[in-house]
Amino acid sequence: MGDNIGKVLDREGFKYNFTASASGTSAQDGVIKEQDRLLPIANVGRIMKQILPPNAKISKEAKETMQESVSEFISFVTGEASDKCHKEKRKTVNGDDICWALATLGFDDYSEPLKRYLYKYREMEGERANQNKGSNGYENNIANI
Amino acid sequence: MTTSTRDISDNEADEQQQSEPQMQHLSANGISHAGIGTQNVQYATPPQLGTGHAVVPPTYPYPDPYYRSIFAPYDAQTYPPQPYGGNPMVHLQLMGIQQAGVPLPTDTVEEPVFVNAKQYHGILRRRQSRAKAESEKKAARNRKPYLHESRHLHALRRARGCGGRFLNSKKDENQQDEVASTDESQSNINLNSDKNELAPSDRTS
Repeated sequence: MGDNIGKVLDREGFKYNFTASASGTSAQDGVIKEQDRLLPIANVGRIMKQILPPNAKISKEAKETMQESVSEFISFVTGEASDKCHKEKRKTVNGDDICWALATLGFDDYSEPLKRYLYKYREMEGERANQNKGSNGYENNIANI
Repeated sequence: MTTSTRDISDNEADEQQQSEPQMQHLSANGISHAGIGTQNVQYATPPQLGTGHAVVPPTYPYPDPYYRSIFAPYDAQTYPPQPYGGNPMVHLQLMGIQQAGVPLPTDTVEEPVFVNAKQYHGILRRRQSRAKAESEKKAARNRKPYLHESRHLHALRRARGCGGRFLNSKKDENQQDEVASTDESQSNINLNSDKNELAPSDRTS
């Protein structure tokens, strides 16, 4: 077992030393990297900071715990939406599927605001391609929640 | 089943060995708290309160209101707690469910944990996905301080001022924001993560 673990670590080191070969190797092996499974921890910390007072500090352990939690929640909801798309012989998961998955899993309080956000987002996409205003709408929607 | 259990235990041993002594104590406390949380869940009506107590360290008072506000909507829905220490038991229980055909949702072998009926199938699906991911890559729990050696070395070589921040008058505000949120190595991870996020979208389109 020790030898196997050493080999695994060596492979990981090799992957990180050569980016191009790492991507090829990971594609061939089908290995799921940590950075593919989790959200970027810096962005998670930034979002957590929005709701806290200005002088608040967030520990690294708190960010890691929240990183795991939100990433698992995304996989949980996306898995439900993907299951629906698989049954309906569709290959693309769209926003409506995510809203449906949230409602199906019992997160009705989140599904309704997200539908309103999706509606406004599509309006903006139809009228303009300005992404900044879309971000502002998202923040306003978060405030509504 | 026996082999997978041993592999999981080996992974836990690796985690304990690789982490620092302080982190070992914290993780040990977390594990014990998780156990206590599980017991509380078995007897008390609100399971999330136990989970909140287990997850949040008492030495950090600021995150407490955030966690409470987050868990408030889940109390009504009785979302189940899923401690990482219980993964092998969860895996065993999955096999048990498949063999025995137990209709009620059970999180542990001995005592059942009741979950939202709407989320039952989703939870089982996620457990299978996590078990599959762990079997494919046993070292999934290991966290690396940085992803690229060259970027790490570059960050080490950069000049730093008082307080440990980088000396760069042009991008002073951006650097302060990034450093304030995380370490420089984590900012490197963030940059690489952005690239990773862009690449899949390119492939999709």
